[in-house]
Amino acid sequence: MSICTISSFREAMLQPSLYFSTLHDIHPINNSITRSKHLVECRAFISDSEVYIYAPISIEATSLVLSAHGILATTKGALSNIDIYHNELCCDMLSGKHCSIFIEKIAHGQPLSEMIYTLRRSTLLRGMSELKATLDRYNISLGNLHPENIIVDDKYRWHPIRCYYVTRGAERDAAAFRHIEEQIMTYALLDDEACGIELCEPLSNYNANSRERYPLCEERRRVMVDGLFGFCNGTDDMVIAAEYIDASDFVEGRAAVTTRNGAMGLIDANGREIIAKRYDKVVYNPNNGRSWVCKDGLWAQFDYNGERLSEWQDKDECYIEEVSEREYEYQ
Amino acid sequence: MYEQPITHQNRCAFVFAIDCSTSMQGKTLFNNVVMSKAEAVALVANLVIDELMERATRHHKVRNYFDIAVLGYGNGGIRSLLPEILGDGFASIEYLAKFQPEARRIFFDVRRNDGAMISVPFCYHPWITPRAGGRTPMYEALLNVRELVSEWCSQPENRDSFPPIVFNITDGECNDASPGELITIARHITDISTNDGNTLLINVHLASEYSDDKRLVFACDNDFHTNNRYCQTLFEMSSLLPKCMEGSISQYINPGTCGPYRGLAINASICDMLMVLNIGSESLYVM
Repeated sequence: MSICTISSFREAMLQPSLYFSTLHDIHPINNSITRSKHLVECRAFISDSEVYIYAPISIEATSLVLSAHGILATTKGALSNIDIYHNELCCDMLSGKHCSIFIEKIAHGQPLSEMIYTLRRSTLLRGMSELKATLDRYNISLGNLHPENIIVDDKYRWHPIRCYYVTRGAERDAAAFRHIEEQIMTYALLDDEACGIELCEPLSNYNANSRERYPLCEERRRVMVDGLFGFCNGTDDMVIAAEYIDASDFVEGRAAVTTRNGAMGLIDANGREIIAKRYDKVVYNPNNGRSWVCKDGLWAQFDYNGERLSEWQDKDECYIEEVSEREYEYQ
Repeated sequence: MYEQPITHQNRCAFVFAIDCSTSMQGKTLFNNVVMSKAEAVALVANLVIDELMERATRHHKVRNYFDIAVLGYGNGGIRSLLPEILGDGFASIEYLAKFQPEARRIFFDVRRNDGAMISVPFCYHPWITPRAGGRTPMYEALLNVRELVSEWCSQPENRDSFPPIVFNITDGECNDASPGELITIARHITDISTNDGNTLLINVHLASEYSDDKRLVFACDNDFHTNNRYCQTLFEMSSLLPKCMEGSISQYINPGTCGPYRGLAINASICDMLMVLNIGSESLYVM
């Protein structure tokens, strides 16, 4: 039994056709490598399917996944399974040894960690309840339940990923479910919020023609529903709820938005808050990714990821770049 | 014991003591690539440092999980093989990362499952460069190791850490001390401890030729016999591996055997040596 080094896995993802024995149609997404205690992973496309590719970095990893594979198979497709490819990856250049890899298909959707900010409580709680029922039905626990490890599809169903800690018995996820529920109650949209869209129904069921249409920018199109802005994707599925009284188009992955109480912030293409929506003004410059932010008459600069770079100071002391009207129509 | 997770608050120390004597100029076969033992050991050490760097990386930033020292012993006595600017002792992996050398590419022949042999490039960073000259002052090197490890363990911030792991990698007999003196200094090293356990000393003997019947990885403490004085010395120098590693070794490395095991690999090929390193760090929980 062989285990993989992270260095080898990284090399393999750069040159999959050389490192993998039979899987030659691997296209890593962003070459983003992450790891847990037992597995190193990369998100990729294999023959148009989005997957996670895992390789073992601990000696227990393979038996862990084999066990999970057996348990998941009993759910007959209700939960995604992990496919095992024995001796697939050349993991040790020094000996030419190969290790097994594990592939888990990912449902089309967005991580719960992002959707939790854009969906209504009742919608999220329904998804959670369905997942709980599925786990109870098959008497299994995921052991790895976390908003990052759940994909929410366009029907708002929850699909767990990274299922390699799955075990028999349904009680181990209770604390994790409670924690997620707390997060939903804290961050999800209130059910009585007048968002203008009935989020409890699949968003794709909405008639796109009923909305005021704007140009598609970076796979996001501004839409106005009942006087509020949100964003849909290229196929007119709503992806960011209409809850802003104003919003810019997306440029370099960021859009400035104004909430109903007049506060401004900056969001990413999944609606995640990059600069909190609590400022008087946000001037985003896509050329350098930085934003000048005004609060109580003082200005500070923030970086692309929302980290504040400078102290709060008078506008006279700041060099706020000129922005073209086209780029900053919103301003 | 031996269960402390490695975090930036509870770092772990790795010491590599590497034989740089003349005999390391001898050739070895490194997955179909012929190179000197010195080159082979340097490459393995470099790959291990790269891997520790990977394991210490979170969100594209190397975090301070490991302290690393690499001592070479041979011509000119004992010297650090890491870049001079890092000094003679431990370098934190976070600091080491600032001096990352330019990556080099090496090609290896790999046989795929379909039988085809292909040449595959692999990148590594040459943290240390091969050296091979002079005698084998292993005793003096272990004195230095003792000093390094003792100082590391005495620092209050390391008191609760996973204990240091020392890899002594050699291809020949020491010629600056008797077996008794070597065993004594090894015991001094393994007596040094943190609250989580004693220092682990793992000896790896690098062979010129791979031979399965001579090969030994992790000797069973209760079932080790040899007529070779040198092997006996290395055996007695090596640490008893902690119980938490025994299950993995008996299940995957030495099926059909049972512990306790010694941290000893004799006539081990380069591949075995890497396996030793993986096992040695496998049970650690890197946060």
